[in-house]
Amino acid sequence: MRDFVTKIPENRGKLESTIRKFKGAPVYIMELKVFGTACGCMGMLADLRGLQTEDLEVYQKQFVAILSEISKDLGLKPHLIYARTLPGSFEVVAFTARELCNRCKNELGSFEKPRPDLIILGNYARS
Amino acid sequence: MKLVIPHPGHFLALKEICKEATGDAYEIYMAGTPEVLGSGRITLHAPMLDEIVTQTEYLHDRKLKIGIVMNPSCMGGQHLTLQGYNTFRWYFGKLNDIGVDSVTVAEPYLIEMLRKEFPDIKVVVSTISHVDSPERARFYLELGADAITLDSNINRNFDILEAIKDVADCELRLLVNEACLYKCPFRYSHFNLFSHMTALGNKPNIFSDYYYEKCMSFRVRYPELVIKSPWIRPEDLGAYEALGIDCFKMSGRANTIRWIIDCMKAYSNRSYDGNLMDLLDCPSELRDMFYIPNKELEGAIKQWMGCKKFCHRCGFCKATAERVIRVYEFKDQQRNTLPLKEVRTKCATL
Repeated sequence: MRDFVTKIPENRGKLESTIRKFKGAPVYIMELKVFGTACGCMGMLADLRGLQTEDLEVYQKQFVAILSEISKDLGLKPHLIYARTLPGSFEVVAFTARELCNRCKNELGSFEKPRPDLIILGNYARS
Repeated sequence: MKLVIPHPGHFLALKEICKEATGDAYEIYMAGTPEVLGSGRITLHAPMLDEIVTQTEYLHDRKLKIGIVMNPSCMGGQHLTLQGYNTFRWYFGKLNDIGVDSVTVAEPYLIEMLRKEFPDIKVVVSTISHVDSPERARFYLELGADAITLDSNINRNFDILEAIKDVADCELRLLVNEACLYKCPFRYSHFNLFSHMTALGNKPNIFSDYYYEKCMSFRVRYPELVIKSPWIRPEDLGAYEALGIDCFKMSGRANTIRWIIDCMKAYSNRSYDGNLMDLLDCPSELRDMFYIPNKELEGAIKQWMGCKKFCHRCGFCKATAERVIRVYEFKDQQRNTLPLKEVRTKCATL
C-alpha cells in the first residue's frame, strides 16, 4: 500500500516535467489526487496552473499519452480523460482521468462535450 | 521600526504569535465581525465581540496594540442607509468601549464617521483605498485619517513615496509582502469579490475565484511577474526608513501561524536566507514551484529606487528573473531545482 502512495507524488512530478518538456514553458501541477466518488467512479485528478485551452489543441496527443501512462501506473483504466476550464476564460485548471460508473458512462461518456467547462481529450467509454 | 503583524483571528493563534513576538512587533491586526461588515481579504476566523475583548486585554497586558481591519472595497451602498449607519456606529462604539487601538477601513465615509464619532480610535486608511499620490493622501487626511497604508503599487516608486511623506504628517504604513501583481488588472474586481464573499448576506454562488486562478497562471507563464510585484525584502527596509517611513505592515492573515511567525522574524531580523517565496503572501501557492534565493537579490533595490516603471524599455526584472529564479523538479523522490531558462525554452514573455 505504501508503494502505491509513494507513486502519487512521483507521478505528479512526472506529469509536470513531461508537460514542461513538450510545451517548453513553466507549468505547475499543484496536486495530484487519486479519488473514488460516491457514484462509483474512480480516477485521478491533477490541479494545475499555466495551461490554456490552445495548449490542449496543440498538444492533445501528448497530454493523452502522459495521462494514460500515469493512470496505468496507478492501476487505473480510464474511460474518459478530460480537462476542466474556468468557464468564460482560456484557463485550464485540472486534468482528470476517470473510470466511469454506469451512470456517469451515460452522463459524461456519451457526449462530445458533456459540460461547458469540460474538454474531452480521450473517450474510451464506448470501446 | 514598527511591525504590524497579521493574526488569523482565533485566540490560540494570538497566544502563539505573542509567545514569539519580536521587539519590533507594534500592532497585531485581525478582521472584524462579518455580521457587520466584510473584509478585503479571506477571513478564516471572524471574532465575535467577546473574543475581541479577551484578545484586546491579552495584547494590552503585553504592551502590544490591537487593530481591527474592516476594509471591504464595496458595501453596496449599505453604509449610506440609516440602518447601515446605525449598525456601523453601534459596532465601532463597541470597539471603542473595548479599547481597540485602531480600525482600518477603506471606505472614505467610514473614515470620516470614525473620526467624528470616535476620536479615541486611531483611524487607519487601508491599502485598498489605493493611496498612490500626495493629492490622494491629502484627501484622506482631510477626512480624518491618523495613518495611511499606502497602495503597494508605489512600494518601489521612491519619488512618490517621498512626495507623500512631504505632505502627509501622519503615520505611513507600507505593506511589505502582499506581493500582488504590479498594476494588477484584477485588483479592484478581486477586492470587490472578497468584500461580498466575506460579509454575511446574499453571497454569490461563484464557480471559482477567477482572479486568483488567473493571477497564479499568469505568474507560472511569466515568472518575471513575481520579481516585478512590489514586495520589499527584509534587507531593504532601511531604504524606506531613510525616507522617514518606519511602519511596515505584513500581509498574510489567511496563512498558518508558523508562516506568520517566521515572516515576522525575517522582517524583524532584516534578513532572510532562503526562498523569497516563503515570505510572500499572495503567491504563496507557488512556493513549491519557484525557488528564489533571497540573498541573490541583494542590490536590486538600487535599481528599483530609480525605476521609471517602463518595463518594456528596461527589462531589469525580466533579466533578474532569468538570473535568479529556479524551478522545482520532483524526480526519483527527490526535489531539485532547475534554472528558469532550462524550463522556459519556448515561452513568450510579458
